[in-house]
Amino acid sequence: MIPVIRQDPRFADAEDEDEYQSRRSNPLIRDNRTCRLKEVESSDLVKFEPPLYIQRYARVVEHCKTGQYRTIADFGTAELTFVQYLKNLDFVNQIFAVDIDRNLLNSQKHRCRPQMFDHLNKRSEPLNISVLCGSVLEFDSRLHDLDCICAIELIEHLQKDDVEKFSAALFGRYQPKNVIITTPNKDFNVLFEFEPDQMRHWDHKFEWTREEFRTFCEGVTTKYDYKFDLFGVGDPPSEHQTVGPCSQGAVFTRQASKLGSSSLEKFPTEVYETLYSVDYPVEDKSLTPDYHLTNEIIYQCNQIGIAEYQEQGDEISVISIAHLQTFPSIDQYRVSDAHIAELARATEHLRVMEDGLSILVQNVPDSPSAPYWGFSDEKNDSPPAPYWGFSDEENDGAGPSYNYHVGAEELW
Amino acid sequence: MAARGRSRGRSAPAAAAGTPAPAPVGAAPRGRGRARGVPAAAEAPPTQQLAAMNIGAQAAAAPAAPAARPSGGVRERGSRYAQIVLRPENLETTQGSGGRPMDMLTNYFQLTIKDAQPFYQYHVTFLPAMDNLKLRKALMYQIPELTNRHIFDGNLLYTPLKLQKLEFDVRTRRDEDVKIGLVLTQEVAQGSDQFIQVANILMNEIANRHMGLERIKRDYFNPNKSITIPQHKIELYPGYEFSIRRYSHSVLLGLDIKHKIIRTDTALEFMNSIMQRTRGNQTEIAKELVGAIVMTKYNNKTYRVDDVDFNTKPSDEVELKSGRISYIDYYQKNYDITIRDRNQPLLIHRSKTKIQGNQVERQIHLVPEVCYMTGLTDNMRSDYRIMQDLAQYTRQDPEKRHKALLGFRESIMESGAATEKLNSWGLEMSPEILDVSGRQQPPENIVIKNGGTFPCDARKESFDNITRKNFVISSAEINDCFTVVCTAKDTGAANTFLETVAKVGPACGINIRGGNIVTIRSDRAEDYITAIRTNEAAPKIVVCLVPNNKKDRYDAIKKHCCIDQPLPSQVLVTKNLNPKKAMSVVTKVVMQMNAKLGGELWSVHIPMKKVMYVGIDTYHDSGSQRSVGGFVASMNDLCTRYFSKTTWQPSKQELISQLEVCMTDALKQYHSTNGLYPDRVIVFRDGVGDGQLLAVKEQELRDIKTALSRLPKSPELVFVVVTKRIQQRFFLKQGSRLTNPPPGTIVDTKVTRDELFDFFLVPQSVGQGTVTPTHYNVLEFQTTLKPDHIQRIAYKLCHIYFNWTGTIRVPAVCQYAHKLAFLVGQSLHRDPSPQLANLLYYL
Repeated sequence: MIPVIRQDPRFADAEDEDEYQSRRSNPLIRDNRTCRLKEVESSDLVKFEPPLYIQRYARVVEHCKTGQYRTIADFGTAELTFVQYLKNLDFVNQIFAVDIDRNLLNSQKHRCRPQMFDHLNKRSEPLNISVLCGSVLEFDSRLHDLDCICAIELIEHLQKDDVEKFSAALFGRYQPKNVIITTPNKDFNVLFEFEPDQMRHWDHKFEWTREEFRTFCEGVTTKYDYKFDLFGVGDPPSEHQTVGPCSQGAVFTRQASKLGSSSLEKFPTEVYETLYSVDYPVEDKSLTPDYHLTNEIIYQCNQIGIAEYQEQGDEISVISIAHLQTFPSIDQYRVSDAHIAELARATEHLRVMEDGLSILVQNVPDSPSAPYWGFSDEKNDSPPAPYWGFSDEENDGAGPSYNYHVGAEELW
Repeated sequence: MAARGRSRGRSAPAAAAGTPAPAPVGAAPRGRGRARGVPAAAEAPPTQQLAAMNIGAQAAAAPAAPAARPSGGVRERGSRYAQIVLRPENLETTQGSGGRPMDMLTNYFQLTIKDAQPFYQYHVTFLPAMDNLKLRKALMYQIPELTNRHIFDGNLLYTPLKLQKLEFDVRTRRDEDVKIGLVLTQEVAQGSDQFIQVANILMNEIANRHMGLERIKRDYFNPNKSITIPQHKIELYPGYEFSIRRYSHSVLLGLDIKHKIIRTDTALEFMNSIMQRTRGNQTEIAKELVGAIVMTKYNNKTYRVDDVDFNTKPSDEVELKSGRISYIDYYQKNYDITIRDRNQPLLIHRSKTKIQGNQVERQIHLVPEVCYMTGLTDNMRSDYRIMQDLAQYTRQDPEKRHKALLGFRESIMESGAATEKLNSWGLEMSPEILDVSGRQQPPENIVIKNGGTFPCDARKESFDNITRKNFVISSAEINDCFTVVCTAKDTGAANTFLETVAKVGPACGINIRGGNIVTIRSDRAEDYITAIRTNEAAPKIVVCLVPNNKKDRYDAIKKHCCIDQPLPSQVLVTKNLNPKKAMSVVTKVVMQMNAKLGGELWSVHIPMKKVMYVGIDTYHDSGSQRSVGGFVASMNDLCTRYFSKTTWQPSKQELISQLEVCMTDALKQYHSTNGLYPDRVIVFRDGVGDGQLLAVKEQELRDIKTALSRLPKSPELVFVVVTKRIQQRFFLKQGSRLTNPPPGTIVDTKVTRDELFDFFLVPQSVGQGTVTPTHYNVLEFQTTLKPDHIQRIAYKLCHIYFNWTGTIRVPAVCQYAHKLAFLVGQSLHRDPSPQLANLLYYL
């Protein structure tokens, strides 16, 4: 049977007809589109370098840093670009990347997985990133009472009537400690030489002047227990100071330190679909400085040893601890020579001279059979056995008894 | 509400870098990546030609510029999964039958489709035409009937579903209505090229997306299971290499266990360490870093270091589009990274990019503090501690390896999404790895003096103890005609050498005793050469005792003795003459000297006579863009005397162009030595990649045949390509345990390929880890011999490499050819003197 074709492809993933219809008829959801046209944020008159979107992210990150927010949600995360910035903050423990476009998230969700350098450069604090699919109008208890919710360049994509619902959901129900909202500053548009009523992006439903944005913010703070500070990103050219910044934003701070306990929100309801969730590699904190220092000592002694072996053929190198102390990587631990000697003594590979001033390191294995192919004409032969002569074969008793059936031999 | 303009770009951190990605290593236009950049004609008709094109590079590469590429590579590169028939014609069988049968396992999973359900290939058209490949791909997700069970490259769609409806209306995000039309072009049957391709794409997706593996080049690694070796600043990521191919048995998923070595030190730490060690020697720092690959901390990119700039520091300013900015501020601003060391030198990476069709060299400065080192340095490789510690993890014995292989399947089964993906395409992976049968050849007896024999240790495949006997088949008459050149400091060692030589040489049956010593003032190369040149003793061979492994000195001595003053030479590092190991080292050296002067050490019994065995290998000249080919041919029935010649090919070409000349010269030499031409010529060709097989067959084989056809009676010809770096492993079933197969094991079923005449041989034994077999691919078999013969010959020839009292991984002629090409490519950079052509001077 051929399934019913849903005309609107954006909701083709709906589970059933009901979901499809309800989502389709919901004006808030319907207007949620990720646009493909470039948003106008520069012109011949004004150019931003770095591009404005980077400056904007940087500014929001700056706020997150100042506030040391540990739990952050990014609404309208789209391609998870902002998450790339957030995940580098070492104090953040939890990032929720939320969007309503499941297809988009599914194609982008892997962007937030740890990269090779995240594995090398392990974090000191744990971090989980979860990619959630859902609407801000629904309530998901995981996002309640976060340190910060960001809605970057999102509000102007809403129908004007829905802005109120958006504020109610955000400030009234999710009640994060902080909210950061950014939106275009319409006053600035004169510098783009727009047609009347033209907006920066085809999907913008409105763009606010600085005054309109302030009114919105004040509306929020009278209704909900928040206060706000305005900021701007993208300064105008000096001869056009009056138009204000290209992009405007506000940081809202919750006034009540504790939330009322009456709310429904206490019950765990996880309505957002988790499309992807990943924990970042964390460094092992149980390791002591001595552990790291010991490894550093072995490493540096080996390096010196192998270089001396290469150059002079020294099978044993004597390294003075005073010399080791000149290495920045060892010097940073600020320990005494005696302590280094003590650590070296405890290792398997290093020995310490009796006077305790130098470390002995052996550059060739003890086994005499090893440098079998040590003469230099042989140096690049690929010997059949593994390199340093592990010739200790597992001896499983008598050799196999051969019972060859007559094959090739008689044919010769 | 969740809509944000796309204006912000897809990847802010990368976009801000202002540093282009370096071209991938070996940027051959292959694989899937290539197809992306080429917008294919949107409304091309679904002709047969189109249908034949595959998802990968073919779609893009085939119409683009096939003529521009060197011949040979084209076809293989053109379709990675299309398999060319290289098997010689008119063969009854490619399998042997001799030897003791054995039951083994091999590292392959069988891959089948449930109920042999085919996949379907559709050609897709868009109305209006969509130029944007990404958009085309995105729109496919809007077809609900596909339920995400499809692979689409922009033109061709593969799905396990047979669609009833072939026209779909979709809408772009900008509310444009688009009609998608599908035309069924073919059913993709299990085992076809397209099937293989689709299966590979699916498997790659599963590895990357569902198993959480990180892709590095063609392999997949799991950083979450990393093993730290902190004292060497190394981490090991366990991982897999896999590929799906059609073999003679069925479609198999070949899986190999790999370990990626990751270094955890930054370039700055590494430089500081060299700095302290060498007390501030900038040349040393540059020497160690140039050529190294570094990975940046912030954008996961890798760069080759081309230079170290000691005159620039991070606090210096650099000119960007937006104006001048210091490196420190740049990193702070763009990546929120604080550079701590303000005075570190910078690394330079040069890349060539095309701007409007013009090659432009770009130079990128990198701050060492934010770069991780990758790969092992030569110093690290020569450090037994590191190699030992690594071997502990990387050398897995058959039991462990088997477990790890099954672990791969288990982790697919554990991941719901991965299993779902496999199921949705009806793919099934066998629960156990593949059974395969092998045959063990009888152990060889080593032929020694006066036709005597010496048994080869069956388990180790070595005959070390041979040196305790007077074994040498024939000795070169060295007597006292050899000179030891050394510095005054080393005269003691030189005397030890002479004494030991007189003891061990005659004991082995080598006529050597006496010899004279020439002392020189310094260990500079010129002093050695002057001493060799002005030596009045007119020795047959000169021995140079050198204090260390310095390459330039070695090169200079070899250059002099191989070109300017043709004279066999032996270089020996003095430290090897310490009392502990002098005996064993000098024994080896004396044997080597004997071989270099034409003495015969040992042989194996090969009943067949009048055969010339030829080994060919290539090596890339370290000093130039050329590559050198080594050609070595046996001159007697015992395979103890060889004729050699080198050839040169332009830039990195593996193919050898002057084989006709080489072969003609070898045949002439054979004739002048034996008074007749050989009845058979058996060529073993090493150093050929999979992609060049066809070119080898078309060019090299043709050249050899031309040379042979000029003889009065053209000899029989067998041409075999030998490959050491292969994926296949075999595990011998011994009761409930798995062990390495014994030396002499032959496998020529199941994991061989229908379109080839190929077999696997395990000639050697390993103490640790799992043995890697050697692959033999017979391209020419114009002979009355049987497959059994070539299998046995290959094994026999592994015994007679004079530098090793045991079996080696390839036939001795290949190893000799390698040694020759290596010596010429690394040290000589010119053809050696033809006067030496009949000696094994390159040993």
